Amino acid sequence: MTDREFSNCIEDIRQRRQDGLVRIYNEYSAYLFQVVLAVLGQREDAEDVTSDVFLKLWENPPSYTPGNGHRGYLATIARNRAVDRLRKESRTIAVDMTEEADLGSVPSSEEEIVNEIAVEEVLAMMSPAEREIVSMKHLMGLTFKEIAEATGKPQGTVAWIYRECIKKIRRCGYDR
Amino acid sequence: MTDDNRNLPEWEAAFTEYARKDAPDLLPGILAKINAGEEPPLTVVSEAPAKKKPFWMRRQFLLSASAFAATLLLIAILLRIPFGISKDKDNPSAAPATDECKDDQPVLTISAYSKSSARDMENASPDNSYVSFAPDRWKHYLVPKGTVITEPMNELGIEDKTDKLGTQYSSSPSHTGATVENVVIADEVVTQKETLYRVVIDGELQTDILIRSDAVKTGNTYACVYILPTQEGFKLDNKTYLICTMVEKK
Repeated sequence: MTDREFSNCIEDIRQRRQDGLVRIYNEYSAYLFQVVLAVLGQREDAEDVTSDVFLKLWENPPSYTPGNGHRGYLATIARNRAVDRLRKESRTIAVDMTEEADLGSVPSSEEEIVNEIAVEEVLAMMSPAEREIVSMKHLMGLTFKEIAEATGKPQGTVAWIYRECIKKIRRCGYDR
Repeated sequence: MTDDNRNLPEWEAAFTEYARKDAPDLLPGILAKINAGEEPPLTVVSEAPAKKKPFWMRRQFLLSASAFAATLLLIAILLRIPFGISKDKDNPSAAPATDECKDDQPVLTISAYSKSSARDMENASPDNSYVSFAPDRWKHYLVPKGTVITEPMNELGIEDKTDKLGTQYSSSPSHTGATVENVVIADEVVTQKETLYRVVIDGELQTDILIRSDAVKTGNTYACVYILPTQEGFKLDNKTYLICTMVEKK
């Protein structure tokens, strides 16, 4: 989705047309869910917060200017909502990714099973912060600068964490 | 490092596919809530007779009770009946009894720093054993050298909405009972603006932390440090603190 298309969707939302929201949902909900899940570590909470992101988008459509990087904007509000939830519930985020993996959808073919296990293995090796940054980088396509803005971390730190993620990903056989 | 993320296409494809499969279908619930919110509120008409309030909630009773209480209070004042606040007749300047009790209660020294901000970096304790530091309005606490970690942290206790350090803190029961001994500067410097520090607790290397150089106060003999999300915080004396530390500048 381009910035212009996103802006059109926001305009639809402002006109109270649900199509705009549905298009944004279809494009980004899966990725935002991963970002939120990385922060919260709990699927149920992540589902609530992800839903809340879209509800707030509907209730208060932002005055979005095309060219400002809508993916970074979405990642930021999703992350902030996750952090708010976290503070409210005062939870630690010791995430057991292997447990989460059991709750995932059922793969349909042998190849998909292998792929999913491989991805889960990689994610299980990552800390929540690493998973968050990898999600923003690889799923949302954000730049280090945008991730730094979304997470509040220095850009150098983001790059450093990302570099550690890449090492782990490569160690799991994803060299290409 | 470049900002190019195209060097792992196989991983990206697999991760994207995984994310799409892993995502729950939230759209029906979202639309249902939206539609429910936009419908006019239903007017509920109850045919049942209004439930009678219990007597102690009725206005008449409350008014009577208030008048009775006011009368009692007036009588007490007229008769100078003490209600727990008494003055020492021999010492008219003595504080009320309740205040005296407060004075006897222990005061946690560290709590005195809980309202510090980034500008209070020089608010070191008298012996310079610790200071508090809150970059970007986050509350960070420096654990004094020699502090015994009594139990793992279960919450951050962060009050401000500004999110600068992330939230991925986890507790580590293995550190219970440990003592914050020292922090030394590691050899590696990650970037010009960041320095890698190495935390040593009980003589054992715990972890490395990245520190923004602007967190180090120039000209101060101590540098304030804050910690990356992989770090841990601890609960001390039933108060929650991030484990932070203070290093002597080299």
